[in-house]
Amino acid sequence: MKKIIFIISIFLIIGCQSSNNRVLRVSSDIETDLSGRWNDTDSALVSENMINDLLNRDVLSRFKKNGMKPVLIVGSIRNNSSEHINVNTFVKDIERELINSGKVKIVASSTERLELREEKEDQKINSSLVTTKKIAQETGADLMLIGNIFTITDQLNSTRVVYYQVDLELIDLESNEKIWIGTKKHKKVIELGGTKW
Amino acid sequence: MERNGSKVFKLVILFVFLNLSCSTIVTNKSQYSDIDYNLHIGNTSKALQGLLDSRDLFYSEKDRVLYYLEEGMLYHFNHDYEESNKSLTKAEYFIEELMTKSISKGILSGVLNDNALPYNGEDYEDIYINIFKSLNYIHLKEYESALVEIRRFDLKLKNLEHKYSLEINNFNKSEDITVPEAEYNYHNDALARYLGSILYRYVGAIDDKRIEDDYFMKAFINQPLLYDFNAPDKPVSHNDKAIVNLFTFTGLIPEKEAETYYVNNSGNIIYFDSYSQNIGFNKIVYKGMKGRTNLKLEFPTLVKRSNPVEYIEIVVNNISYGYLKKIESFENIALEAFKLRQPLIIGKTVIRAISKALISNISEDIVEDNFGKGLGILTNLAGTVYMFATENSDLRAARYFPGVSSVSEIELEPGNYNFSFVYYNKKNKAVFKEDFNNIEIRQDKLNLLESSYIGL
Repeated sequence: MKKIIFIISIFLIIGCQSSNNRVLRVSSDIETDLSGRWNDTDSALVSENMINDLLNRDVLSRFKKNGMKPVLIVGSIRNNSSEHINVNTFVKDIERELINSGKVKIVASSTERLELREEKEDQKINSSLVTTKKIAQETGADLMLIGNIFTITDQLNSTRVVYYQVDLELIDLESNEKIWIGTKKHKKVIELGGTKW
Repeated sequence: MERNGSKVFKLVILFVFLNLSCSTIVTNKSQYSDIDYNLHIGNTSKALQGLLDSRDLFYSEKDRVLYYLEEGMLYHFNHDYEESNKSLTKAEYFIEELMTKSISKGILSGVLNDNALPYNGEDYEDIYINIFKSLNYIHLKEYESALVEIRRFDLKLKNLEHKYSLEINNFNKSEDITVPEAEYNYHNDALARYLGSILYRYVGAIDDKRIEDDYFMKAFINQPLLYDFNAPDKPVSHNDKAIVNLFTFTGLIPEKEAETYYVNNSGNIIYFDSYSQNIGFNKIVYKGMKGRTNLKLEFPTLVKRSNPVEYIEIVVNNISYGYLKKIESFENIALEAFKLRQPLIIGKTVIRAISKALISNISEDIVEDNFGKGLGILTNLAGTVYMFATENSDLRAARYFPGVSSVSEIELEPGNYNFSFVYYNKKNKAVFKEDFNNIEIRQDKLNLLESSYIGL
């Protein structure tokens, strides 16, 4: 009799489970792969690897003028993949790697420049004469970095393989000559779930 | 002895009633009547509010995919594209999450029926999420994201073909039952290709647009049963004027209804035969039955719903610009995609019903041996009642995907225009009209207008 009551109790309890949210703070250096999709770790790894490749090749030296570092702008990186990838964080990772290398200067992107120009217009009206920044004194870029992110996805039942390919191209703004093309490929094997109680 | 027997019998009855009273054994659809009515009169905001109000009363955690699918679609028809994306994204996420099968719930489904399981969405619902998310992103002017959704749709469609092969194979190996694989012919989708074409045209990827156009035409040529109507013109490559793309959605996707079979069997083979056009195969054979058996088999089939709209006219500044052309029968595709999973649903239904019958027979024998023939018969009766009451098919399905989509592409000089979509029934009577006033049409933007009438 006790056993039967115990079994019935289990059936009743099944419908009464509750869950609580729990937050665990971790360092941003720690790799976290929850869904298997493109994440901050992929962005940082790919940008670091590709920019190292660019800087280790002797493609930038001819753009050094009078000892000045070449000026570079990061243009559009297009997401041609089947994932929603935050391209902005990837662009920022690339900019960070380039600036931290100390080998190039980076200028603001087209959207950032619009905001900066608005600020300078505002300064003309509201800032003191000494601190107002001059217009038409911007640094023009020598080179533009553009790119694409592609994915090829293959899936059989609960195993998914995602192959990422990131292509970056460095283009001479004056001649439109492509002076470097970098490609980084990496693969992720994702097991979609298992059996759990 | 008599008192003990009485106690056991009462406990059996108590167990049956505990399960019968549980909301997990039947599909409840009563929340839909008001929402349907408001959609019928074209009041999508009230329909949406009706669904939001019904959430706590009619949807439990196991129905979360169903709820978010319905919420996402009603937000979409209410032109709230950001909220629609949030809801559809949640639905898509939970569908993927539910691929992690919970054994405990699986056992509950084996004891009761599939209503006890979390609803993990039909395959056609999962893929159509991406079509509507793509449309949402277009309305939100996030064209790269709209293209991501088209690619995701394509991936899911390719994966669908083989999704159940292994599962059916394993099922057949592990059970005494043989279920067939359904014949399947949905490999390419015209609406997805059409959307891809206008998006690639907008971002200047002309080669990609051409590929989409080729596949668009192939969708009609290679799948005549799914696309049993003439193809609309493919999107133009470019034009000196501004191009306006018009999309409409009418009717509703097929509904799940229960098909019930009562089987009185005394042999050792159950030969299940169906000539229903909604089922993708004819027969299932189960070997290994012993003794007499009363079975109730109930499983879902998809049934098309009526669509009051026959054709749609587009009027610009009070001048008719012709009629939209049908591009997608969500109905045909839902029926085709459902065929893939249906053999498994029916196979599992047969196994579950047989298990219940066997338990009922064994219980009768045990009770009869210990407490006498009278209680044995009563136990068998209770078991039969239990099977007949709990063997209900899972009729959950997202209700608010449309039945039909139609498109048109017109060319206008850049400027501001008033657009009207006029919906006509078979008797050429206008049943609904939706106006979009003072819409700016430009050459350098993707001009897309979308209207819907989910009349019933």
